Amino acid sequence: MEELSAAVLICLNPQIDRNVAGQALAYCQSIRQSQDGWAFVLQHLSTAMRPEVAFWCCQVLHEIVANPSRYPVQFSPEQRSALRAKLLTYFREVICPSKASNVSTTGMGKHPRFLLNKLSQVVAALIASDYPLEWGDAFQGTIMPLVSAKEITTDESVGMFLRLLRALDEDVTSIRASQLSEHHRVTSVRVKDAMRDDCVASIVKKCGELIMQPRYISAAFDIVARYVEWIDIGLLLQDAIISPMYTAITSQQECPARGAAAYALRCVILKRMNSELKINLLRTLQIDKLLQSIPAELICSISETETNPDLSIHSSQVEVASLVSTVCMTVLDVLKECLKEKNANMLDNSAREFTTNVAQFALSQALRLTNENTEDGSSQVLQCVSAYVNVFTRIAKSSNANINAGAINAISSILEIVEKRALMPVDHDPHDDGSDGNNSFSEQRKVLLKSVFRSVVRATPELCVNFVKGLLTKASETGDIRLTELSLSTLLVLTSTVPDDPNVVEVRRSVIANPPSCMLFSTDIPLSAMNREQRARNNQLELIAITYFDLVARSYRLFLTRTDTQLLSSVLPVFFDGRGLSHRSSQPIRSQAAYSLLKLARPLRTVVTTTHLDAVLNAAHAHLFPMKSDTSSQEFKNQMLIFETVGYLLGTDHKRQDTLQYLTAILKPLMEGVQSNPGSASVAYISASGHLSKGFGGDSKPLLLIINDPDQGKGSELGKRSFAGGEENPTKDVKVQRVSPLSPEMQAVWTACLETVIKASVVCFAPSRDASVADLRLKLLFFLHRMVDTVGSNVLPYLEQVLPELLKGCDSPLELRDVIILASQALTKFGESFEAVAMRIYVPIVQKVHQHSYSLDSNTLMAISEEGREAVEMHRAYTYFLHAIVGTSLIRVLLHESNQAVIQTVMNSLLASAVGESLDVRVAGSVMKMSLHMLGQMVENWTSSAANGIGSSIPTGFVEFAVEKISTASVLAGVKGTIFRYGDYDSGQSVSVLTEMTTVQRLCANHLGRPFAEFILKEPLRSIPKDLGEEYLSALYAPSTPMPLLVEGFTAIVKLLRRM
Amino acid sequence: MAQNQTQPNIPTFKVVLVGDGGVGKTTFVKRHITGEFEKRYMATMGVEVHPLRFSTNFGEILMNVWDTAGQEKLGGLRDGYYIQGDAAIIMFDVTSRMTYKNVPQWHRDLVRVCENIPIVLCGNKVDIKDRKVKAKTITFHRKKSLQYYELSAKSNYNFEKPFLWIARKLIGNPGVEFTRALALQPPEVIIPDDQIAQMNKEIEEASHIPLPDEDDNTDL
Repeated sequence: MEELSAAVLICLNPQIDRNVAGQALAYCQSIRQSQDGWAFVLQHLSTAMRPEVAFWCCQVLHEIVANPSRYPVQFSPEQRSALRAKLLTYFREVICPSKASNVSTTGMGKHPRFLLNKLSQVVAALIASDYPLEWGDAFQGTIMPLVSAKEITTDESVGMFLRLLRALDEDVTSIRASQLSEHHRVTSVRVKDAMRDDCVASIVKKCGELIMQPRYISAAFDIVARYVEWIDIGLLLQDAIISPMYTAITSQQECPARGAAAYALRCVILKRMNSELKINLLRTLQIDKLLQSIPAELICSISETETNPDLSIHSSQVEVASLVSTVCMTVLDVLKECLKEKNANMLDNSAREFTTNVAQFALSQALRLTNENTEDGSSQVLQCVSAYVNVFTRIAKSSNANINAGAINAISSILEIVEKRALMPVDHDPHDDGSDGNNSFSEQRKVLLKSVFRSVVRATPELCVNFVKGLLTKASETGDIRLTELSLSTLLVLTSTVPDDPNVVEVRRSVIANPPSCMLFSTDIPLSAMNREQRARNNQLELIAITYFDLVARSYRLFLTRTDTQLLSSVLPVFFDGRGLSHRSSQPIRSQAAYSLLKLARPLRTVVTTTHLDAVLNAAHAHLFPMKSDTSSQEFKNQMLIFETVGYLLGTDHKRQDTLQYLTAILKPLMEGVQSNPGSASVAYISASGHLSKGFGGDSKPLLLIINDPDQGKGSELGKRSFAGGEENPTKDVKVQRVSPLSPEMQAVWTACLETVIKASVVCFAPSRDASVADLRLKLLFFLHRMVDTVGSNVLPYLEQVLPELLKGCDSPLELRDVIILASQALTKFGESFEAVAMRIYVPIVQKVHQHSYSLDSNTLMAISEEGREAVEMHRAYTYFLHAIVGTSLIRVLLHESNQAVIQTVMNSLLASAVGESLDVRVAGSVMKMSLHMLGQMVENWTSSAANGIGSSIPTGFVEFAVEKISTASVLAGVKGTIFRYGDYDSGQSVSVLTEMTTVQRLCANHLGRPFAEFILKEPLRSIPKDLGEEYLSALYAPSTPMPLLVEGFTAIVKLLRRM
Repeated sequence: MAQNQTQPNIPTFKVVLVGDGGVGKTTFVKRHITGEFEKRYMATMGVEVHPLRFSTNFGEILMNVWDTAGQEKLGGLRDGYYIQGDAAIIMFDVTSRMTYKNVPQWHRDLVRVCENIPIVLCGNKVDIKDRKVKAKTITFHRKKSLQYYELSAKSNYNFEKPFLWIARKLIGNPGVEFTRALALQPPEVIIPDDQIAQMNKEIEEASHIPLPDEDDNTDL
């Protein structure tokens, strides 16, 4: 016995020698795992002098009782009864030493809470396993006496009663506990059914008594909240429970139990029931009267810490705000239900009036409970306000009536709150994130603008336009920059919510044409030297400029609809001068200007190139050069955005004489930069060239031109490449585009650039772990991706030269993935023309890929380590690459004589991927589907007599391989694939893979004949009844059987196989 | 205050670090160079104790961080290690939904043993772009009044935040600051500024999303 105590204490002492600690732990483990360990532990429990040791004993007992299958213990009924009896003796001893004997045998004074909680868990586990069949009097004999008037109740016994009920809820009866497994669900139902007959009424009655005692009131409300979900609501709707609850919530003084009472009432209201019953419940509870009696101002004024830390109940303000929000959302949900035609008569007039009134009372209280200092409750309240506005708007629309005066008043008061609470305080410093990392004003403001105000805009746009106009006028009259900021922010919300409203368009046009004069600000004072008010003012001025640019970018349609270009002429300089890209002191403003310029220029590039190309390029030139050297800086990123913008403008109309000159003028210094900074120093120039080229690819035409050109927009490669678990072959139907849309002169310019970049990048062809080389490799890959689109098939000789070299330099799975993706892109785009390149890279890719592997976590079926995840991504890209080869005539590459060395590796890898047993569950669906699809194509193409002209190259013995391996994979994938590991056969992804498996089987049946059926019955289906297998196969061989029916039949077979 | 690993005249606290296997607990705690140097290995017991020393404007403090890594596999005393914990960090991996799904269980086990201790919830591996647990779905901390931080152990991003918050709670003064830069291992990855800004934005937006009702099927 002493040994065990010593061992446990050693295990908990980090200063003990490691070897000694290891021996102690091994000793404890041996007891835990031994057949009679439970008896030893039980005996030790009653004499343990240290709570840590008693805790460990309880822990072992809990695990054995709760999870007997994990331990080598076979209890006889007598042993189980003895365990229970002895444990309960200890239990009584802990609660009330004097009851069992005059001297405590536990040897401890006051028992620590952690031990009492663990003991409660053991008793709850015993209830879960033995109640009511083997331990019918668990409650009447053990638990209720803890608080029975006939017994001597003590703080300890009442405390234990409450702890036990909490443990029972958490481990057995709660929804969460019952959802852990089927076993837990069955247990939960059994225990709850028995408790309903046996003891629930007594428990509720006892809670009512405990609520009357101040020291237990919060804990008793907590029990009510936990059990309300599954007990008869009628038991709770009694004065003993509800009356103290209301007294606490509406108390006109500080009340420690207010939060717990509000939380319990909220749980009562959340109890699941239909809408009619819910309204009846609210009427019974007289919730309207309660709402009117809540002392919101008093609650908001109390600075309160947690009332009961053991119960995790929040402050009164948060809990009451949550209660009010819940009431509001509940009645709004009911009103929403009533809007459905079939529910039109769900509520009678009286109930409807009650519901509407409650919504308005709740809204009013919700607004009162939201103040600047509130925590989480305030965001719930604000969501409530949004819901209110939405529902009442829909009600007004459904009855073809205007929103009534009451609702308009409510909405006007909401707008007043928006103005009052979203206006930046004079000293608001967004960089000061408060002591706990929260910035409650910013959070609340965002909810006000993006949720509440947006909802109001949807409901009553005209009211909101007037509101914004009023703000603009006030801002102009007072010169208050805070009002300017708020008016722009609200205008932005108006723009994004009702962009085409004529009144909104007019206000926006006026604001855009007259940028706020305060945008001209700049300062030489560094932020760190500013006082709080200066920082606040600086921030507000920045926000004004940022919001203005955002507004302009979102308003590009304004510039399209106007025939004159005056507005554009007045706006473009703002982007480039000291209010935007040339701002002296604000980097965020420069960044927003660069970003918004790109957003504006892309859709407007036809207009801009027609009328403003010279002006824009002249203004942009100062921001293009010199190149920023720090490629991780924000300034560099801004510069890239400007290159991209310029690229879009120059790529719009290739036929213009001047665009080639402009392009040459910009590319020349870039190429010089690449040449004079070989190696990793050229990264910035390569990156800039790549961004500039974005306007010259296949997707560079402006939307308007594509829409107007009937030859564009259909049958193009856009939108048809995605596999995404769909049913189409990713390479099927892809229109092979070999020719660049650019003029020969432009192609020549870009090809020269490509050549220069490649020459300067040779350093990244050799393996290197240097971060700068890796960065260069990444930028080169990005540039090559761009060039595939830009110069068309001119890129092929360069890819043939570069891809094998890049592969040599690839070490990590991530780098390899990027190269494979580039190869797949080119393969898909150029088809047969890519064959020479594919021949050179195919074997190195296979060899490199198979050097990497990953293992899965057995629980999550995912690769846990970062390296593992990278390998998963690489493997997916590799499968896509193979799929692109197999789906085209480039299958010749796979079968070529010189590549035969890896064919076995590839085929085995395909089989393994098709079965999906070791695939990360995140990618398993798509990889399995692609692999199965490839195997199906092979069966289709390689077993026919002509074999599509590649007969002589087909691997010897393929038919036998298909009969044995492919057919087996097409069945076992449904059992072994990680996506099916937990029995999910119904999700879209699962059905999609099962369909692919069935398709492969049908191809096998058609092309391999009866040997396929014979093998299937003999091998993968051998464990199911033969007639079932034969029935499925006959359906498979019958051409008339529709595919969905086959998939259904196969799914049933797979489920049967799982059980075998 | 914990008695383990005590140093003369230095307030010492026991901080329990829990979370699913593979979320990065050990990587996180090993970033602190001092702790890495002084730690006492108890690998066979499923726990490693790292003594991390911090200089604050209220003087030195020592946090013995009990890294309960691998306890499922290696056995150990499981929740027994939480006994006498002064504070706790629950960690999950933002690229693994399962690890976030298990947070309520870790929390429940913790509070059963250590009632009323400050607890920080940490979402690790935010440097990885393939994020699966989106900021808007992370609401558990709000329901349970925990503090939440996003971390990237590999880049040292926000390393000090959980400890600073715990220090403020344990000392009982929100004005506590670390006065000396922490000696950390050099970052293995760098999170770009725009990614950090985006993460902060998403966390802020997530804080406005109403909490799921109590009768939703999980505590998440």
